[in-house]
Amino acid sequence: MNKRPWIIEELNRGNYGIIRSSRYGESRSVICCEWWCEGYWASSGYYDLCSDKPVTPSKTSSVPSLFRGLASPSSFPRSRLVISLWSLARNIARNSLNRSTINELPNIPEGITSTKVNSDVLIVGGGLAGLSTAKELSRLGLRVVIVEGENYIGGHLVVDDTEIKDLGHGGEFIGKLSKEVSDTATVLNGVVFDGFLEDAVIGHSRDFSRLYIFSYKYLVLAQGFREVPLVFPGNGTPRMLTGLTMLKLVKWWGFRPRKVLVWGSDDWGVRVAMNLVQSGIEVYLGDNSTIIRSDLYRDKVGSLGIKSFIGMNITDARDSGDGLRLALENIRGRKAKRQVREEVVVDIVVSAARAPVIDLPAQLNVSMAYAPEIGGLVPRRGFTGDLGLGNVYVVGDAGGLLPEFLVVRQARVTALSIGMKEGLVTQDVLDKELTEFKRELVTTNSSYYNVILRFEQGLQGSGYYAEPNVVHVPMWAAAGSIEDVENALRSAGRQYLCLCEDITLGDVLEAVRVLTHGKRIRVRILHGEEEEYKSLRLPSMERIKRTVGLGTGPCQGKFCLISTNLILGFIYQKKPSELGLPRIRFPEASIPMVTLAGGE
Amino acid sequence: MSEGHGLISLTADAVVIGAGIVGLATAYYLARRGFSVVVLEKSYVGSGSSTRNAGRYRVHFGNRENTEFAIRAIRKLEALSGELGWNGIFERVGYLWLARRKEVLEHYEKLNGQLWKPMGVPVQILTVDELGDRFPYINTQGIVGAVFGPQDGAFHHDYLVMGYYERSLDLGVKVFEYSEVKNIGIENGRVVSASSGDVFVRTKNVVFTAGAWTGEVMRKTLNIDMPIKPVRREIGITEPVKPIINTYIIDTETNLYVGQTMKGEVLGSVELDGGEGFLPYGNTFTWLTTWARETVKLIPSLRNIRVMRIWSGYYEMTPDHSHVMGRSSAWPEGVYVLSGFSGHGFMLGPYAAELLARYITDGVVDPIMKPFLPNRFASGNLIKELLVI
Repeated sequence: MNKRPWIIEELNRGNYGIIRSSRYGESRSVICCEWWCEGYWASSGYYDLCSDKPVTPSKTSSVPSLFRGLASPSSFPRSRLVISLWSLARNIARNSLNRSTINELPNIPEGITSTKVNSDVLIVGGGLAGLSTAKELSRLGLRVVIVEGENYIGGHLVVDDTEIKDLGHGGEFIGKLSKEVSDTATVLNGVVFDGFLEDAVIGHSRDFSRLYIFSYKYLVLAQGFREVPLVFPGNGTPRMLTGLTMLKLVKWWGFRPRKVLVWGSDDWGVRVAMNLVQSGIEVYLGDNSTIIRSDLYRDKVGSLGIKSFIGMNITDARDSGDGLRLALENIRGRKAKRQVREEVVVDIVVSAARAPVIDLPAQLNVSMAYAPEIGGLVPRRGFTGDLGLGNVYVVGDAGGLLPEFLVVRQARVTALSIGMKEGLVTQDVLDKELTEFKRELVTTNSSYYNVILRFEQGLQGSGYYAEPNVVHVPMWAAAGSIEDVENALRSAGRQYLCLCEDITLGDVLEAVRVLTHGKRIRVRILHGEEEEYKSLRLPSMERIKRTVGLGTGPCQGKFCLISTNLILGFIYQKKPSELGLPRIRFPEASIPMVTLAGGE
Repeated sequence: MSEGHGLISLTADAVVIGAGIVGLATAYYLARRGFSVVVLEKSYVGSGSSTRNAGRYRVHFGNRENTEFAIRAIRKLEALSGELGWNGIFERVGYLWLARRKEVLEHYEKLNGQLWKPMGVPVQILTVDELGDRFPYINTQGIVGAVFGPQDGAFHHDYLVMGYYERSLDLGVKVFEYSEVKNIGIENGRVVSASSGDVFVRTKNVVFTAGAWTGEVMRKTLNIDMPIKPVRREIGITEPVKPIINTYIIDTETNLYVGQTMKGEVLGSVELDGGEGFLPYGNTFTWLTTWARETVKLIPSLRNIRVMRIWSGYYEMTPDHSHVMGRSSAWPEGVYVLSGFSGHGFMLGPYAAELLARYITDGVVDPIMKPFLPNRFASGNLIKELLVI
């Protein structure tokens, strides 16, 4: 548990608009206190907002609504007016962005050190997957080091007071596992693993006082999942939180909202809702899936009295005096017999829409497979987690979202696979475990069978949105059927994809339009006019990034790249692999100059 | 090679190899002069050095030929926003060369007197005190003086690449991405076709504008020896902050450079030795720590700023660090080259492309391009640097 963060006071006073956005200077903020969210705050000049002593810019500015159009990422570079008045405009543009001054940056104390860390197996991520792998590896006698970005280990289960299949009480299970692992493995808390240079693999401590240089025989990437900001009309609202942060704020630090809407109905989403109910908060649960996604917890929703908005979209959101006023409408697929429109007022929307963390495999140029059954874009190359690089494995949700008890099983498979390479385990032991794991996988959810087939037959890229009415993009809380997509596109200018650089879905669609040379892509053609659809070639995400700046802010696309890929894939009914991802570059999180300078 | 090997069969007046800034500009100016043009790009548009550079331009070179060329090229570059309808985010922030030895400063003074001043682009020679007054964030310890070129500046590479791309498409240029040229058909000593894995183009002209890959692709397709070699350079960028670095600083001793983008990111690098060949697009710890150390030493106020992203790219080096444009009489008819800018392709490329387009369509050799013809490598008539900077 960290010190009580400053934002708690603000939130409990009802001040949700904690920051000004960088480009427009609008009151905005997705509240997320995970280590990887720091970049988002920093984009507008805010630092350590989740600590007790934040750094905020002394002066903020905002773009008058008259000029907002000119300032947008899509019109700014192409405005003839701005070009003709450039000598004047450039000074305004440069000075009006909300940033810190160089003197306002948090000071890094003197005395930077660097530490070499040797291990047989280095595990990145000290959550369920990382700890479970560590436990199995230690059992085999291997020297394990765990690197964890947070100041605690255990990951999301630390704040989970629900009952989890086969594991029991989440918090208790992870507490016990954490203790076991701490006795046998070295745990580096509050350390970010930055990634791969040609002559070193490095990381840094969160207080920036120390640089780590890692050496290992095997690397296990166990970074789990990441909840991403929801995309819906009006999501520029400051009233959005990620689920994990929400649970910490409520359970550790006493955040007391009255009503919340949790979006995302997979296992984790339902459990976030259950946890909040236990804390005495009135909870709604929403998703644009046709039923609650979670097989394991579906029954809990009704029995706990959680009002649910399943099969619905958020079609509008406006901040009002008494909270966030949300309009919800049912998805209008062929199955929808009647139109439903509801309005709810909540204090905050909680995003439980999650995606596997693929930054590090992407840094290593591992191409991503599309597997909607397990969370979208995944780097996995089979169930041992071997990424095909010789000594790098991915385990747990980072390789594809699975129920916790299966994550534990998969960790064992990965550990045995490493053990086999080391000559500590025989092939048949591994094979047996793998077979059992697969059997459990299929018994748990039959759609995992497709995943197995695709992995085993090497057809990782073959999944795509074949069924227009199947929703696989939980972070886009505005779309379901083709009618909903058309509706959602009408308000694309109010749906923020990138909250660092103020980039909306409208900006991105405009970039696609420019890159396809003004070709008007009608959504309807994607569902009928075969030839036109087939010949449609979308520009790559790399070029979209370079046209609008998506993913160029200090969080380096952690908030937006996967969402955008999946949303565009959904809109244009293309494989996400066709759009690809921009090249993900070192480092995983920003490192101060002085830390690098002193750390050699 | 017969046609039918490609899935798409086309006829064009010219095929341009490479869709970086130089290739797109060449395609655009050829199309403006009425040519039908096909561009073959082995990766995506701008994937090479065009979008990996620091986005800086200067008129100050160490010899007459390049300086003369650059003065005109920069005039062209600075007018591109209007021409292309994409904002190049131009700003004459100037170049500031820091000298740590008297001889270096004297060289610059000599260049200024003999070359730059007479050509109308004088630099300002600053004493250490003047330097401290004008650029108070620089640690002047160990510096003996500085040279400030106010005519030099910064631009945004992505937008200009997009500008040429979009305007080229407007003129009917066909750009094929992920379509690497495999074969140039030659009959009776002249070009008849160019083809990639999926495109076959019947054409009489092929222009090689493949940046660092030009040497390789000319050798592979035509067995022409063009001495253009890739050298990998690393570069990095920090998180954005309010404007502080108001020029582009080059430490001539440590080979450190530092600038700031309009968005506020501090951009820079330190140039280390080595890097020859097509090394992977990676980065080294050695470079990263050296860059950080030298940056903090020179500008102490940058100590707390955070490095957000690092990457690398290739310079396309010729033996005399000057570009090569035009054709050689020893080559098959219809083969042209525009490449080898040795790190200056973005600033010089657009103007060079316009000249080359005129040469290809009308056969006019502008006097200013004469020193840069490819024959100079065979004849040994290289461009001489008065000072390597």
